[in-house]
Amino acid sequence: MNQRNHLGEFEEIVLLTVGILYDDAYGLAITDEIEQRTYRKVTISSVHKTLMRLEQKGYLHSQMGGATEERGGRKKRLFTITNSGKEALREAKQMRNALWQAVPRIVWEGGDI
Amino acid sequence: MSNKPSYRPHPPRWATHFLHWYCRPELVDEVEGDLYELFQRRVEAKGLRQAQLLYWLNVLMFLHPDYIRKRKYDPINHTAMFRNYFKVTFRNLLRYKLFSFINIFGLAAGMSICLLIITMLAEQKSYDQFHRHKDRIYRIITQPGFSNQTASSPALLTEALADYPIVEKTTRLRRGFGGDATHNQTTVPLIGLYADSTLLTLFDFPMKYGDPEQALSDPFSVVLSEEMAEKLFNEENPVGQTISFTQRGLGRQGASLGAEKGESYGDFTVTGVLAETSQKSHIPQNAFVSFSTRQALHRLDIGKVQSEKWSDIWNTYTYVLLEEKTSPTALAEALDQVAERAYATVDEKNRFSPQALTRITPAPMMNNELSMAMPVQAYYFWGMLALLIMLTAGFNYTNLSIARSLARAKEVGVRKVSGAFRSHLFGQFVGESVVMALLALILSVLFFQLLKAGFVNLSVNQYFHFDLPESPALYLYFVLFGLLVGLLAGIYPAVYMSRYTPLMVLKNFKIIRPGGLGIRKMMITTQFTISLMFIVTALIFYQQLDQYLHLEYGFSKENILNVDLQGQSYEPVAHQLAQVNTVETISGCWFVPGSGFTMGKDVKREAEDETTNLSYMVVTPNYFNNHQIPITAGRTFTLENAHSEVVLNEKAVQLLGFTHPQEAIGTPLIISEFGETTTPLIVGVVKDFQDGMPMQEMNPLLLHYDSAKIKVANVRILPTDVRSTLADLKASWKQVDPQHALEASFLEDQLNTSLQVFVDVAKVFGLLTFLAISVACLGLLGMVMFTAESRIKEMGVRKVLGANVGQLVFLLSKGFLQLWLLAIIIALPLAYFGNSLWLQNFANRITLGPGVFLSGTAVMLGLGLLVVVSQTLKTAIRNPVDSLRDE
Repeated sequence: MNQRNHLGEFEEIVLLTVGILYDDAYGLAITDEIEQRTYRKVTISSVHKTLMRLEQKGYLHSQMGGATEERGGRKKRLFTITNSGKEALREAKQMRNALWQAVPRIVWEGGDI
Repeated sequence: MSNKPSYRPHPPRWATHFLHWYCRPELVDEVEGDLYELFQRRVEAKGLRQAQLLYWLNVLMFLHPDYIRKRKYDPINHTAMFRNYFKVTFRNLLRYKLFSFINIFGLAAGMSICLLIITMLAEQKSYDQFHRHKDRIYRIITQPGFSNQTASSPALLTEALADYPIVEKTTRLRRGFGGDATHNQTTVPLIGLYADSTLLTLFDFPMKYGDPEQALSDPFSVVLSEEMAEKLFNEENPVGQTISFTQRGLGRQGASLGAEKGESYGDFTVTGVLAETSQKSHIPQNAFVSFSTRQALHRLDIGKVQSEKWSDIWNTYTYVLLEEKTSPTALAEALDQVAERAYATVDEKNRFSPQALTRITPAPMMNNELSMAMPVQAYYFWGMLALLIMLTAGFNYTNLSIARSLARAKEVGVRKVSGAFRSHLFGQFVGESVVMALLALILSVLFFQLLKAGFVNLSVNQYFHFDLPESPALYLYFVLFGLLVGLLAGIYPAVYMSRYTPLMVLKNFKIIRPGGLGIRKMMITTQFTISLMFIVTALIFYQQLDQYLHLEYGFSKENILNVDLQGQSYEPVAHQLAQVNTVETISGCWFVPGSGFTMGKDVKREAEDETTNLSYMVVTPNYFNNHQIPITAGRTFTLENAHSEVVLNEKAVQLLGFTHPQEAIGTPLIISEFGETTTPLIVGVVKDFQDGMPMQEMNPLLLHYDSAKIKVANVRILPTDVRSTLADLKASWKQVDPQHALEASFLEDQLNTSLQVFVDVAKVFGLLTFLAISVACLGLLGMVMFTAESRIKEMGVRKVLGANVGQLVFLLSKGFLQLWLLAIIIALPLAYFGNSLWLQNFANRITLGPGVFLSGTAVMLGLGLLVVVSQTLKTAIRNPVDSLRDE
């Protein structure tokens, strides 16, 4: 495995949300989705910054999309996950699963050691 | 899709502007779009205010290095663009040749005067810069209780300061050495200063021969200038040789009181020669004599040299070299202490203060300076006038540029479309004006050379010694000045023209008139107000000068030759000169009236009266006759009773309370001075005559005969063949004084000399007026040409509709006539008040009649109309077919 920067927690969430919204993943929609699903308050600026960072790392690909009247005629930037993005997500998932499995049952079920 | 109303609430504009300002262009859309969506949502959910607030917050939170746009200029732009800018600038200059000429000429005219003033200031500032210790040297000036500051100080000051540790060294210069120096049959007049032995080490006058440490230690030592040494010793090294000196009182300041009869001071040893140098100093360097000579002379009882006193603040100049790192305030304190001790027992308290060496030139107004110089205030005055002319020229530039701005508007539009920012255009236009200013600078340097030649030849300059040297540093100042002018002149037009947008240009700017019309009108009006004031003042000046030149002095001034007695007694000289057969009569006096020198005496009629101060002159009994001054009562003095007789003039008689001159005859007057009281009788009254300079009122006079005080012989000669009379007089004089040449000048010339300053000022002022008017007229020419050109079509149409040439000319000129009227209304009262102010101080003044103002206005209107009509006529005459056909 390559020693790239590990995915931060928020970055992972954002990346996954892009996957969820695969057709219409742009800044505001992603922000709304995250707020809905994680019950967290996230600012739109932090989402945008994270998206930019992810794109710089090569995990996301973006292109300019349609302008709508709701947006006052301004275009939106639509994101899609790149292959290396998918790689990174899988790695992260695998690593987490591995950690989960390494935790002995007794931690979950209680009881004395 | 919900039916939304067509009006949508907008997110706060400023926030959006801010976003656009800082955000990278490629990211702006997405960010703004998202925020806009959010905003609309929030408006529905939380209301407008909340939505706006949150919008602002969001915008501010996007301030992140990744989002902020890079502000670097594209480096590729500049080098190629400069070439383009230069090309365009020069093409413009050449295309609008007349406008360019007007601008450059106007700017050059104003700049040349400023260059002159800069050079004068630079020269003055360069005085005394060559001394090593110049930053630590201070001159002590005195503030006497009753009058202005004087540059001199008591000679005892250095002794008193010697105790203070802050003082490293002191030196003094003292007047009182002027007479004949003789060496081996060569006699030359020599005027020098007594100087302490420390002079040549405190200051750094370069010496050709001699040791600066020792040269002025011993009494009877003298250090000569190279020029003087050459006169006496030719090319040899004079160190060690002797000259004999006879003191004759030469070089005393004030009107020529005439030389005294010589008193020999004995032999002096030449101990050094000062090298000729181009470095200037406020200290005259003809000769320095060791100060110790004075004590020697005092001991030997030669020459009335008295011991120094604290009350004598008029004859010595004190210089102090402070220890390193000492502040002048310490010196000021020391001086205060010294003054307290010295004047503790007297009423007349004087105060001393230090004056930095570097501040001595250019000089603030002070009495009794070592050498004459133009006071700093004069620079301010001339500088202000120069600035006015520059202002006029600058206005021209601004006006013409804006007027032409329409023509450049297309260029601006195209440039902006091709990607120029407003700042680029601003820079381009300012650059153009700087280039123009630099071209004007070149022309102005040429003008400056002419001015320099004229200025150096003004007679006033013999006192000021301006050489106006040019140095590389000076040219640097010139260039900086030129740049400054270009910047200042160009800012307003540049701001104005860079504002055009492509949209305005495309819309064919019928809507955009060359705006700032109000400002341009104001500028033209100001130019003409300034010009009119200049003209009127100049005319007043000339009128006043004329008045003075033809002043009725009250005595006959033609054909009188005033001979300086040079220390001889009056009687023998008069007798000898009378031998010349073309001499009519000879009288004598102490000093020449009209020269500015006055003496006064306090007199009373009765012992208990207050004293009345009268001016005082000493003349021979036949003086009045010789000068054709009428005696209105009584008679002139008799030789026998001279000491107990006085003559008054009519003003004095009136002042003393007599109702009629006849009444005064036979009345005694009480005169007390220096502890003695005399009571002479009034034996005669003469008509008033101008005893002082033409600018002064006639004074009440007391006249007296005292043969000892007569210094000048007034020789009335026949007007025919003046040359041979002079030759005869010279020969005659030699009989009395073979040693010295005849010193004589015509009374008329002497009176005119005192007016010399006036004449010079008039010349300078006249030149400035000429420049101001030229610049204003050139500006007017440009404006008129422009207005006429832009209204060609209109004129064509009017002509077709039946207007005649006269009507068209009037129409085109109307605008300017209004401005002139305004200028006249403003300028004339100002000119009246301004000139009355300075005229008040002068006696024998002209009354400010309407004549001057009318002529001034006539000149200005005349020139203006000439310019306007010549141009408008051209337009009015044009065949309407031509004017309407051209596109």
